[in-house]
Amino acid sequence: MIYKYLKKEFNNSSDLKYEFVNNVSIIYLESITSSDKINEYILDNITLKKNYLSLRDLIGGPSVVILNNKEQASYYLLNGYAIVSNNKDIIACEVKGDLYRAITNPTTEVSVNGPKDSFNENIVSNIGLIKRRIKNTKLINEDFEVGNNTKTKISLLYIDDKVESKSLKILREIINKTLNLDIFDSESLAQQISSGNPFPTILKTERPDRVSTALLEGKIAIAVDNSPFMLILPAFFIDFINPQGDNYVKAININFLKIVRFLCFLITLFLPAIYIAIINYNQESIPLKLLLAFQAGRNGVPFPSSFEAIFMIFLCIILRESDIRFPSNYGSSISIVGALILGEAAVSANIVSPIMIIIIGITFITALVFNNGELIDALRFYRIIILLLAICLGLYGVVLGYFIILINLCKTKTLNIDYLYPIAPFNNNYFFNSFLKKKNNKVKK
Amino acid sequence: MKKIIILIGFCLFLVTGCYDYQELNDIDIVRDVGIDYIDKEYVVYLQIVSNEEKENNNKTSTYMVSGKANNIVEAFNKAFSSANKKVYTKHIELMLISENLANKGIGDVVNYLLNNFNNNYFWLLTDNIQNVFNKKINDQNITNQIVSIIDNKIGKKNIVDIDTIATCIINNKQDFTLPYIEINNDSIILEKIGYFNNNHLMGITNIKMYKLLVLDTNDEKFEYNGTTVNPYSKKISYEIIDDKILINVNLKGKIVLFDGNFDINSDKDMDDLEKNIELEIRKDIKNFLDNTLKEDVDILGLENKFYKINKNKKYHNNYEIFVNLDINRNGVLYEVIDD
Repeated sequence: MIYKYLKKEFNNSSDLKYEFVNNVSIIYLESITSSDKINEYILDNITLKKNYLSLRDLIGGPSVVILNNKEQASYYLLNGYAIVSNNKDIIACEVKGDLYRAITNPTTEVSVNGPKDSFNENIVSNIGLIKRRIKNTKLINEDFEVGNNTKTKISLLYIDDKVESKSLKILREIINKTLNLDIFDSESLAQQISSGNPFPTILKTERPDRVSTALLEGKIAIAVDNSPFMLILPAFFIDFINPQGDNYVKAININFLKIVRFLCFLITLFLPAIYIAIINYNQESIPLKLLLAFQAGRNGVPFPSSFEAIFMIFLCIILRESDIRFPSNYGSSISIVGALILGEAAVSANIVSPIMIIIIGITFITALVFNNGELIDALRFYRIIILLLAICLGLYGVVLGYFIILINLCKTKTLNIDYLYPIAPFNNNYFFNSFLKKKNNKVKK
Repeated sequence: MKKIIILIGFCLFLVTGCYDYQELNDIDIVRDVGIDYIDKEYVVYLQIVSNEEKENNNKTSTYMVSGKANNIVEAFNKAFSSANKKVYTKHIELMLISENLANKGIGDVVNYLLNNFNNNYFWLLTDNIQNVFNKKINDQNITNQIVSIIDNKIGKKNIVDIDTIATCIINNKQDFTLPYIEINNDSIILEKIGYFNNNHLMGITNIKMYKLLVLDTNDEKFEYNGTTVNPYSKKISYEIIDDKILINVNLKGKIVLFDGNFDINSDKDMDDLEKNIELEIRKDIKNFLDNTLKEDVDILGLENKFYKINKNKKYHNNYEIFVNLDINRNGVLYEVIDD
């Protein structure tokens, strides 16, 4: 009876399986269930126990739901349950297959120190990795189901007595507006929440320790089923500059690196533009010997330096894209070809000057200091804008570009909090937890 | 709001632009400028510098262009048009002016340079500009060496710049000097200075007393009877008592060279040395000041100092010099141990 209904509902889908044992119907989707669990929780019990009072007594397993009507059955089938029915009762028993990766090392946020586990595509195990770290009853996870077709489970995590209720309210409202959206990854949700600014306002991380630290700081994390990345909100500008590994190094050692990273941010953004502005407009601002070296380097290059810079930047972008997209087995050969084109061949063919290679090389190396892809994309976007301004207006254009970025950063908000927090508005505690690291007080012996 | 931002952005592009865009390959960088005055005409020499790659080594090469006209603007324009590419003049290191031009007066030149050039170059005086520009030591132009000699002997910060010269010419309260460079065979000599009144060269004198009285250098040496003393510390002060300027020169010195006739353990020899060198320095300072004041050139700015105290009276070479030399004896006491 119920099988006929479900067969019609699923349009004779081939993975919808039906067994009839001892007057009990068992229906399940073969593709998302585990045959071992079906044997253990259902079939063994049905074949061994002849006398039973109700169907519920027969079925084992950690999650068993008694259904009121047959219409509910499709939902449970799609979520990895088996529907067990005799003529009286309909029961759903969870027999989900283990379609997930194991917990592995982080791949995008590698750190020398600290824990080596990372999230996988299973939301339950991801939340488990957090709860293993924060054993606090105030750590709350609030579940939502998003998507008309995907029915993706998402979960808001926060510590009740630390989180700002206003931020939580805003976030709930945003999620409630996106309930119809089909999502496959946390990025799809992030795009709905974040503003149109190129700079990222939501931190995507695959490290459970990073999420745990953020939760203790009063932030909110969003776990999305089938995504190995959790979202952290609100995320400030400084959160994208410093990796989680900083927390596991002495303050005195890491503060220098934090300053260097910030300098790298400025270098990667402004270096090509400043070089172009100086050699084309403001030659008086560099020493004569350096200017002569630049002039000697450009001898024989037929193209204007601005064209050279744009050409090199695009070449590097293409190289990076090909390196990311190409299978890793071939990656090394791509790098070699790229290095040959960019280095030796381009210079000897007089297409670009050696100094331009150095400038673009430094620009891209300094960008690699940051491991957040969105930040690197934003840097690339603004780097090209500032370069175009420098080509047209010289150092004046560079300063103009600097103010455009500064104004943009100042007006950006993340969950209604200023993006440049804790610098503007200034917060002493968070400043020494993010921008710099404060030396921890020694435990008194 | 967006429309306003777009409008402002558009206007920003209109008010400035690519008009001063110049590729490095398209400019000739001028490093040194020389200005002479021959047969009632200004002659401008521009030394243009570029780096050449030869066998993987960067080598600086130079070439000279010149322009001649009866006014300075025309002369510069002719020199600029003689260059191969657009001339770039914001990295000038040396500004050489000839004795002829200095005698004639540098007012026109200062006026032109103030309006058209930056002011971060060294002013030098020389007898023959072409000789300086064409001279090569070890196949390299000598202007780099001149800059380092100036730095060693006078100090870059002590060279007068065009603003100081212009101020001196306009105010006429204090006069200025310029280092005088001579080329002798393969050596560059910087032992003299030329002193100016208003914008005219009035004379050339030895640089030693100028360094002692005006500059903060401590490398001067004074010799008496085979013993050489270097004043490693100095304090010069001026007092005005009874309409008279007292110039107090307090020096602390050390013996850097002595011969067998001098006994450094003897207090008498030391006292004699101090006394005689004091006398010699006093004599040199007097000669130096008398020579310059004779031409009505006031290098030390005494007139200005006097004027501040007594506005009604004019200073007329009425000065007294006191020199006190104190040789450091602790460091030179020793006893010869016989074998």
